[in-house]
Amino acid sequence: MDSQTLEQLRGALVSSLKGISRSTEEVYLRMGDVYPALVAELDTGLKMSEGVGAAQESLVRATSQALRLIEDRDSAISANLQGTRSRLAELDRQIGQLETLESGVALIRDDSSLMKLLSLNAMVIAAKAGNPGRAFSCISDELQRTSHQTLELTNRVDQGQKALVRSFEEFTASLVDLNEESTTGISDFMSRVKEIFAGLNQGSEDLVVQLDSLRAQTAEVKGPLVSIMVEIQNQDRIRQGLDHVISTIEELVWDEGGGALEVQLSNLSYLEVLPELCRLVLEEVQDQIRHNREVFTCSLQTARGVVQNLQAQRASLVRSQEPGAALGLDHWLALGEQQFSAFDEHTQALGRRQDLALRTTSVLRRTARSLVESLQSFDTILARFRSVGLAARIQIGRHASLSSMQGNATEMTSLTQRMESHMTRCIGVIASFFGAAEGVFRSFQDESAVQADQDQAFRQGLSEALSRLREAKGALDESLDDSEVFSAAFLDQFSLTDADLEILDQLLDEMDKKKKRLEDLKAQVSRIKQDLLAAAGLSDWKLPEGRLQTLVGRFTIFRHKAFAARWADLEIGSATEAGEVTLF
Amino acid sequence: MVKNILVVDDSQAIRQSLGFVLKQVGYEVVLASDGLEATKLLEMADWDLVISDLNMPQMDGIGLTRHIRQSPRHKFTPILILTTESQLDMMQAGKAAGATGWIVKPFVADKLLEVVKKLSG
Repeated sequence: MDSQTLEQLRGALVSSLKGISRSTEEVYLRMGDVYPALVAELDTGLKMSEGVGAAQESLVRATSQALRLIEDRDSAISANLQGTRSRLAELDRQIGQLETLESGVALIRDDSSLMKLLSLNAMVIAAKAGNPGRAFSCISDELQRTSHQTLELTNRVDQGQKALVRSFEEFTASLVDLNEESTTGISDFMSRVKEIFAGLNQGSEDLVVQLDSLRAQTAEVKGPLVSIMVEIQNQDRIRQGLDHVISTIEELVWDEGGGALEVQLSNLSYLEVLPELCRLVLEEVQDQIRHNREVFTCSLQTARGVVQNLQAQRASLVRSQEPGAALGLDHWLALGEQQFSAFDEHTQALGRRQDLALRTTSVLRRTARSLVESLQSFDTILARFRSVGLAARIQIGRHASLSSMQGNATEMTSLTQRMESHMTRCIGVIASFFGAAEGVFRSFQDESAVQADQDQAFRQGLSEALSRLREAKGALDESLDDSEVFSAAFLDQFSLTDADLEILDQLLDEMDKKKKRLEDLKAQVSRIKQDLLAAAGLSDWKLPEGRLQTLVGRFTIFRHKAFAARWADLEIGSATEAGEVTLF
Repeated sequence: MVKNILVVDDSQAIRQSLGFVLKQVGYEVVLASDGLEATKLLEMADWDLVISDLNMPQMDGIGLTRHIRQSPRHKFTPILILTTESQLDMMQAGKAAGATGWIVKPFVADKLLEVVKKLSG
């Protein structure tokens, strides 16, 4: 070993250690630059996905509003149906009344037949009476004709009544059908919609639970990133350690040429200690880097594991919410829209059929009116019966030969009066039915108009509810988008840190090589010293403490000073532990 | 109210790490890389706490502490020395200069935040 070789070694070591210090600093500072940005990105992402609760609440609110709307509509339809049923019952009762018309007409028919018999009897008596009877035969003819007309009219009234009853029965049957369809329709719709809304609510709750879980797990990524940032501070200690090694190496000066033996032995004793001191400090620096590396690696593994797990969960969640995915919100919303649309068509079709049914009321009115007119035409017939009766009584009064017909004339008058009575009753029945039916028709029409308004309002309300549901679904979709907290750059950074950790490994290897060179140097110095000691017949030489004291006096880390204390009685005092807080 | 903390250290890694930890819990943090830069920043605002390294170029932590204690505006501002120096005689020097407390690097985040809360509150 000569001074020049030592100087070259010193220069090479210092330069290399400065390079190691710089590279270490670059690695730590790079992480120190990047990880706060990642944490900020994470915080922003977490803040953005906070809206999920509000989005879910608005979806639940929208479904509740829509359900309330449907329930209100259900109640209104039930109330309407109740009204319709009572009106139909009233119509049924009236139709029952109308059937009593049949018996009234039958009585008129019976009386008409009796009247016809009377006319035949009158004709026989008239034929026997000779000349006076001839005039009377005209009256008998008229009586027969009128009786015949009466029978025809009763048949017509009978048919008219039957037709009217049939028409009313058809009308009420169609309304009953409509009611039943309406009831079944709303009941089916309600049960389907309730199922759909339950699916929507459950789906949104599940989505929120999963998004909350994603958020909670996302927040877990922060811990390891913070740990990395806390660990970054150790670069300061590493730099100071390497500075101490460099300061120590710079003391490696050897003048092989000269000086007294004592000076040479003192120098060699000092030189012998320095490589070992460097090695101890370097080892401490290496331990520090290894510890940091372990923290970086563990933190990175934890963060990466959580992120990968999160991405897998999120991908699955996104798939579950894609349009067409079974049990996703889109699925339920599409079903809801389908149901609303089907229900809308159904109610509109029912409305049209109800309108049609109500329009048939005009036909019913006409039929009823024609029946009334038919009955009223009995008036003419009755007038004729009265005229025939009067003519008969005149003829009987004039001709004694016709006196046997007195009883017939009385009977004729009595029959005419009975028929009049029956007819009045029949007209009364028809008039009462007609009046009642008119009231029912008006109620149906009024109700139909109210229902049309209600249907319109309901459709409008449903359409708005669907819009709100779509909006809420959109907000949930946004929350799902916002749950994509980790950008590609975020994940790339993990790979960059992997590369930095490899650099740290290389620097540790470099430090191992420096330690080996320092050990070799120490061995060389020890050999020279031992040779000198042997030549001088000495066994040992005490280390001069002053230079070592001065050297470690420049150290800023107590532990490094303590390393030096093993070779000399140095004044290094006492110290507190790292991380210790002392308040004065 | 947000507390203002002045962090003084010539190590960029310490500034990054300490600044990050303090900002994470809501402190407003301003960074200076040596004592001289810190003296300029001190005049620009009121500070709830100064955390300073000991060994720095231009003006060290002890010099900065003395400077702060001489300033009427910052006479009572708490000062924490954060350093790798753990010797008791150094701590005594810091105390004599007017420091409020001493933390040996590397800091433990929880312990540091506890004392920061106490001093800046």
